[in-house]
Amino acid sequence: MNKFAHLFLGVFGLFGASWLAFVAYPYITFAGMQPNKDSNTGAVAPQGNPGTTEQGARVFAANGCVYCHSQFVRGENEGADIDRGWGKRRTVARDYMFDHYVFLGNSRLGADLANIGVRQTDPQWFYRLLYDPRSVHPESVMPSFRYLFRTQKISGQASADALKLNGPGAPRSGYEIVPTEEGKAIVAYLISLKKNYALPEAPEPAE
Amino acid sequence: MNQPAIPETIPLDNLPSGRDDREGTGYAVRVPVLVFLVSAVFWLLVSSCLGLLVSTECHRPGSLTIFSNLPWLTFGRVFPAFQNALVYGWLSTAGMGVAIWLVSQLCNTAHRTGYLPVLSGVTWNIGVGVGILSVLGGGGNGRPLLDFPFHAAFLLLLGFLFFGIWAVVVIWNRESGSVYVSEWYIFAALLCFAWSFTTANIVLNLPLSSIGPAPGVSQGAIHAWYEKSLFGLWLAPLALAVAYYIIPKSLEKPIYSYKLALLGFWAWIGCAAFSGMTVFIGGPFPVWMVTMGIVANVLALIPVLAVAANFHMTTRSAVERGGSSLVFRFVALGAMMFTFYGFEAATNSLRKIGQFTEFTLVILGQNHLFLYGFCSLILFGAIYYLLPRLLDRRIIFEGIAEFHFWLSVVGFALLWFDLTMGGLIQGFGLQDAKVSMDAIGDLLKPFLMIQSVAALIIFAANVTFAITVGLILLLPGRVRNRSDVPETSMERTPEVTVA
Repeated sequence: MNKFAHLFLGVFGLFGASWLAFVAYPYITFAGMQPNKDSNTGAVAPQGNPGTTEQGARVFAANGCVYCHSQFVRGENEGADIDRGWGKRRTVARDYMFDHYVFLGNSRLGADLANIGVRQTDPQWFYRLLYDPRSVHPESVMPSFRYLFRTQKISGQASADALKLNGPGAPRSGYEIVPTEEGKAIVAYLISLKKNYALPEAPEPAE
Repeated sequence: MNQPAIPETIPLDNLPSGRDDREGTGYAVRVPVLVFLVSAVFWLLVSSCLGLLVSTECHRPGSLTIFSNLPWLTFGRVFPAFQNALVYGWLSTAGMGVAIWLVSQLCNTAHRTGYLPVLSGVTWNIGVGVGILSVLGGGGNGRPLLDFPFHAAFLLLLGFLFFGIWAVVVIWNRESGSVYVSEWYIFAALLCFAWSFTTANIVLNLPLSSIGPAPGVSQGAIHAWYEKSLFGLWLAPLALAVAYYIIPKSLEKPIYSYKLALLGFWAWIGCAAFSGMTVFIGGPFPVWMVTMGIVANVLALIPVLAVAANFHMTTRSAVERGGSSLVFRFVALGAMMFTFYGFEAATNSLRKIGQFTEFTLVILGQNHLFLYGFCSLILFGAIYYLLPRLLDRRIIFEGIAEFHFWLSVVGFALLWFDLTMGGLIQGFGLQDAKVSMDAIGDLLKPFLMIQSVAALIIFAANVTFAITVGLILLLPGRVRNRSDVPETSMERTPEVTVA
């Protein structure tokens, strides 16, 4: 191999082929995806999130949640994901077609979040988990995110989303612990994570 | 060894020739090479501090409230900062530094536009610094190894391009006739990194809504492709280029087979480029994408074995000549870890096994096998090899470097074993819906504890390394005598194969 031209063409060809297969092909295919319209009911799925969750997705990204939480459910023959209640069916490409930021993840020190908004709908549950994970899951290795909350003096009525804490962790009387804007955004994002509609390419497995 | 007499300036196809001391062309680029190597050691220290911190947070998440109140110390920021410091700060910087030397040396061309690689080193380092601070400050992208925000990635690309353009110019103007194996690998690394880093950052991280991010799950596919390119076609070729230089050079023996080297090279480029998608077994992609990844990971055993056989046959019956030297031990052990990594990657990519190891610490262990066991060990060896040549000095710190070798080996072996065992338990737990996530967390605790012990040993190893490098740089040492190349304590004399 005495000519750099051969070297260049060979590497260019091989790597270019992988670029076509794993960059160009998925980019084009998934950009042209259409939501599914049910022929009987006329329901369209997925609906997509109404724009408000993007800030939350950025908080999710910036704080590295993806390093412990995945966001995809494998089929019934590929793992215990469905048995664990992480979803009723496997997730497919169409589930993510409206998502601006997709965090599939490949670590599960924590639970899968593809359908966390189906399992938990109460913001208070998320606030408690983020503030003190071990009050929800005693053996959890999840870090607590107290910096997503602030303590403030109660003026007039207590805030609706103030944390309900008792015991040594509770704030002094007259004060309350409330989520910051970032805290609210990430919880709104997490609650929006639902893939509980039917898609023909991913039927729910029989019980 | 009855090598035919060869003039000094023309390398055999399978033996890097030419003097690599003061007389060699590599000596002419010592300033940029030192800029890269010294900053790489700095980032290695940064990454091992962050690694130690992140490991501690893992096994004591509740007890240290300081971590929960300070956003820049939270696990989800320190972990990516650690990984990026390791990959872009230490491995890439050291790899580029050694590559500058190798290119200059092998092309037998005195440096032209010598300011470019210095500029490259400075820009690259600023990029790494800005990137790590951004990730800690909450500007990360949440995409493993693409965490750096676009402006930091842009600085990295700029720094890389200065280096890449310089390398291409030197290669273009080379005075040596043929092209040695190490140069193939460096050339492939240049092309693939420029291509994959640009693509991934533009379609995933560019903060312009008109272009990015890429639609839906194509983000996952592009990301998996990038990560594998970064490992397999940037870091691996740089490390293999070093191994293909130092192993024959320190044994004074040509590479066993030119054809095996060719096979190993081309098959590896072909396989590595297609093997990324196995991180998404069962993921929301067309089945062929993952299947292609599995096939590529298994086929990659061909180049992995070709490279291993070539090194083995080169080393066989010649070990007594260079086998006891520390440089040789670092590089040879690193090269063996490449084989080991190839087998682990192929095993973990199989669907039936992958569904257990996917999402677990096994994969983290596999990545560390690659980053520490393979790339780092080879680069340690390369730095011990280069520093005395660049400074025209003898190394006299054998004991402390020996200590570094054993600390690295023990620390890394413990880390890999711990992550693999813990990961397997985690994997079997995850596959049994009756075992709650809480129970898995509880089972993992002892492993996370041992992980911190391993991180501490690796930290100590890296500090020892930095001290050794510091001593070599700062203490005057004994100047080499050119006419009578003395036996250094770190390696046997690399007698130049000149008749």
